[in-house]
Amino acid sequence: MPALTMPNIGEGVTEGTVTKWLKAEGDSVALDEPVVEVETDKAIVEIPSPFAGVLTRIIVPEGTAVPIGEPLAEFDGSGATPREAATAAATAPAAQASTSRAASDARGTGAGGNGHTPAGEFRRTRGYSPVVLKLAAEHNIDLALVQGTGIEGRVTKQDVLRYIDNPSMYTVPPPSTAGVVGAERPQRAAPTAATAAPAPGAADGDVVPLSATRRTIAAHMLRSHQSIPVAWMMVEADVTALVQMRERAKQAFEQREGVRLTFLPFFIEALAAALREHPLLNATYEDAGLRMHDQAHIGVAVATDSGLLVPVLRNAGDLSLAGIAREVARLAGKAQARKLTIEEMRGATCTIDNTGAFGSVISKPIVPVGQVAIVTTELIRRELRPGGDDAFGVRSVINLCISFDHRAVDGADAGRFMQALRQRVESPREP
Amino acid sequence: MTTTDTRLESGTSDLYLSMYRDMVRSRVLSDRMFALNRQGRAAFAVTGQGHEAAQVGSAYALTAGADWVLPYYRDVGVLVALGMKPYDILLGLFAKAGDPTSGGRQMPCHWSWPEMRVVTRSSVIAANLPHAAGIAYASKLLGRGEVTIVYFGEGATSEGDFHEAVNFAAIHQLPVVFFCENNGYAISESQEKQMAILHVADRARGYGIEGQTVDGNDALTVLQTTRWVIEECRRGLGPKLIEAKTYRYAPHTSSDDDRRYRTRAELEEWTRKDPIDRLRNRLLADGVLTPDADGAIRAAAQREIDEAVEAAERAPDPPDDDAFRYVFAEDA
Amino acid sequence: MALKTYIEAIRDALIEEMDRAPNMLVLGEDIQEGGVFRATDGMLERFGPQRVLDTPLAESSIVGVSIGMATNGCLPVAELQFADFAYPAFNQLISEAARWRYRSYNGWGCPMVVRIPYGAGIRGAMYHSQSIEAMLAHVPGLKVVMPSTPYDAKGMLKAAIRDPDPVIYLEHKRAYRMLKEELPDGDYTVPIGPARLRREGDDITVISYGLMAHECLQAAEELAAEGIDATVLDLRTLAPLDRDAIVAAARRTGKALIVHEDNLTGGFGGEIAAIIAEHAFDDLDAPVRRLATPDVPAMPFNGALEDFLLPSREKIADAMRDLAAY
Repeated sequence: MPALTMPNIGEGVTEGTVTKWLKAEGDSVALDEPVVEVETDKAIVEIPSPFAGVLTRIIVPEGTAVPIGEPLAEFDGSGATPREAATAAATAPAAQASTSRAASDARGTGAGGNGHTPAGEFRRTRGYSPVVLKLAAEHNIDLALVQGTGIEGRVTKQDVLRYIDNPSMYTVPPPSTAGVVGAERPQRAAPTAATAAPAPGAADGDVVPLSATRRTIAAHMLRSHQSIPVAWMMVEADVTALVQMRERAKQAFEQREGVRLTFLPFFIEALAAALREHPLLNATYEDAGLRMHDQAHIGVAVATDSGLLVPVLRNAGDLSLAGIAREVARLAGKAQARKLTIEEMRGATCTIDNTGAFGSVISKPIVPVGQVAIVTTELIRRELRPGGDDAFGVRSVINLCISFDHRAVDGADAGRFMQALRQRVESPREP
Repeated sequence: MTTTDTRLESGTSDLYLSMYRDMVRSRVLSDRMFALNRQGRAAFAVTGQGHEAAQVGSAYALTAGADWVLPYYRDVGVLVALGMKPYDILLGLFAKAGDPTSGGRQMPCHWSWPEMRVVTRSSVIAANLPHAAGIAYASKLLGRGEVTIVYFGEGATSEGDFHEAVNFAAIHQLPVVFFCENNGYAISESQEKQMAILHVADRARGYGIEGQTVDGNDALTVLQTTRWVIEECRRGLGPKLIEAKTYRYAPHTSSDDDRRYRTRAELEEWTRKDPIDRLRNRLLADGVLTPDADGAIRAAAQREIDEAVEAAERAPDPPDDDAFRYVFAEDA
Repeated sequence: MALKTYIEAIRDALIEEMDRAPNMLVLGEDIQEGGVFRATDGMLERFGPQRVLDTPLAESSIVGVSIGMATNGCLPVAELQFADFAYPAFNQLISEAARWRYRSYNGWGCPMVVRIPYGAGIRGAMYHSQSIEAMLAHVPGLKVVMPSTPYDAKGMLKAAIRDPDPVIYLEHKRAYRMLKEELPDGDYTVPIGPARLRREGDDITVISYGLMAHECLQAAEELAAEGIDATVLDLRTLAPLDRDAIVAAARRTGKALIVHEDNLTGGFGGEIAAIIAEHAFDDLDAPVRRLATPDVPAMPFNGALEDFLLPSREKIADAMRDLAAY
């Protein structure tokens, strides 16, 4: 029983939305007859049937987006056409062949390649770009002092603009201060040093190609790193009550709600409440000003086999603890299965990362672009602490860390916010 | 080859005298243009000495200003017959600002004259034949009675555009006359090198149209044949091909040395058939022209051309900025 | 408003203009039965065989007779079936139409449109895939337009038909049924000349035209999710060229990527790059980059090879990432 799959209708298209079925179940369909209308980002296209036969089952209803290759409908009848078989057969060797061909291109046509990829390779010029020199002259800047974030430590236009705004933040650190904890600075040497010699052993080892997810993560992180002046803070919270309460409630909760009761929903609930009290932390920094969001959409970092994914818990402040738990479980499951839609990963206003899951007690996260803060919840540890009567007792304590965009948020703002967060986790409500 | 009865019709002596005068003016002007090049005063010249009967005779069959004319660069006689002043042709020779045909941009004799529906052409041989077919198609589509005539040499019939244009015109039975001035040479290549047939007119049959070969040195035959063909076109009877057999007395252009490919004996033989002498003798014999009147016509032509050369040579060059005008239509 | 494909937009423009101008006609091979891409579908019934004219299979004369028609009061819109078959007409386009007004010192004009389907990606192989814009845009006197959306396709074709000079209208075959857009009812034109900013961003600038402009915009939206914010300039018209828009777009980010489907060497991207180098040098923050089809003589029929050679949304996105990271 052949299936009609979401075809690759344009290079680079990753998913399509079924906008309209042009045939109903039970209809017979001629080869190449339009059978379904699919919308990608900007285009709406009719998909002609690769089969002649009867459409037996529509799998993807109208209005639903699916990735390329997902089955859309089932047919009975003549099966795969020669065309489809040929395409499938042709694709595999082509992929292999392209590598060697690209290599011979590079050899054959020399610098700049032959246009196929503009990145034959970027060859960094030794000097500064024209616009960097112009800005340096206009603002009387010693470019040797500017932190470079471009390829091979190149000083980019953006680097100079940031340096003009805040010279101290973007000055190349002198060697003695390199590695000082707490100063959020890239550990990067001056451009000259970076290009002076290849890294030792650079030719050793295999290069693992970057996956699309890895590339995306890399681009996000670099952009954040380049554009956001980050400050950091940690508070300690006593979560003894929370631990005890969870212990009491978890069995009934799982039976009632169908999902396990972890600590994360408590923290998310507390975070959403703290954000409502301190809306400054639930904002986006824009050139025109701070965009204050009405709702808290909390990004939840999920570690998957292929890398970090951050699905978004929408309107977290409106959800009950059980609602949060269910949604977290659903999103985490989809993340692990790599079934998250782009929509489910867009629009976070603040992010939480349970780094404690890996035993971490302090971590220093990177603020996602478009948000002003990210909070980590660290390992809950049992420690001997003096109680109210100065008698020592075993308490459960946790470190809560925050990285925040210092353009938008001052230390005092962050401190008050973390205070609110701590109070929430220290006095949890019964689920 | 058709030889038409060319007894002079009564009441037409003025017309023939006028034709004769224009043939003489055309010859004097052509000779002078060549001389101006040889004197280093004009960068280039291309002329049509020997073609006067074909050119003036056919042009006199047209309704000037109504019929469309696509001449080729040898057609000094066509333009003189249509009324273009030698002064204007000479402004083109000297590529002066006031050159009415191209503002000094084109080589000499690549005329454009909208008032007389003379359509611009390039130096690319036969490229204007499809234009003629298109113009004729428009005349038919828009319901107008005008006829289009396009001139070319026998070498042009080797080009694909000749075939495409005649074929298109034949399919749609368009009012267009394809007028071939066959002087036996495409620059240096004699007709045998261009085609395996004796008469260009024979090509017409392959397109389903009529072709007629005429003595291109007999102005009266050319006039009558062209008149008849144009009348047929106007009546909607489709395109025709006329082949006027003639000879050019000058090299192809001022840059050509025809002694490399033509014998002087051949030139002598054709000089004895000079179309201007032929019409003069006829007009003298019929009493339409007297030797005195002939002398006056020639003297007047010399005087006219002398004055025109002097004035045209003094005319200003275009200013530098003029080079940028009319790439596209300019806003009114 | 009505949802229209790119080719419906073209057909609507032709029909509306022929309704408006009784001296307009369309001509070309197989036009009466609708044309091989069905651009003129249904027009024979509406306008008759004199104004919806099937020509002999002879490209030079298709353009040549069009020039004559335009000279004698008609508004011809010629169709050359594939860009790959336009070369026999190049003499008429280059030596005749382009120089018509200039060589007659404004004595004659040539209000003619030549529609030419171009481009690859349809498994059309060597002779149904070519991009010929660079050769034509090189010729002063021709206007060359390459709309990238159904809206522009209709508006620019109308503008071309009303233009007093010869306009080469290049339409990508793959756009015909792939691109759909809600179009306003009734008459509108899109002027020949001005480029259009399809997207504004501060990280990199992508400059393209025709269907590749669409692909660039898609790639830019994709990269926005990664935090790379691109300006996308759609030239729309190659001649006359909107140089100011190119310079402004390049200046905005200092990083310019030029994308076209035509092959690299001598391609139109070289002209754009030269304009940027000449007029935006001080604002450049990276070498100007070009993404184009490699310099092979023609597109192979083999699908894998075609995919390998053609610029795609993925290749564009990769090039954009590299440039953003520079």
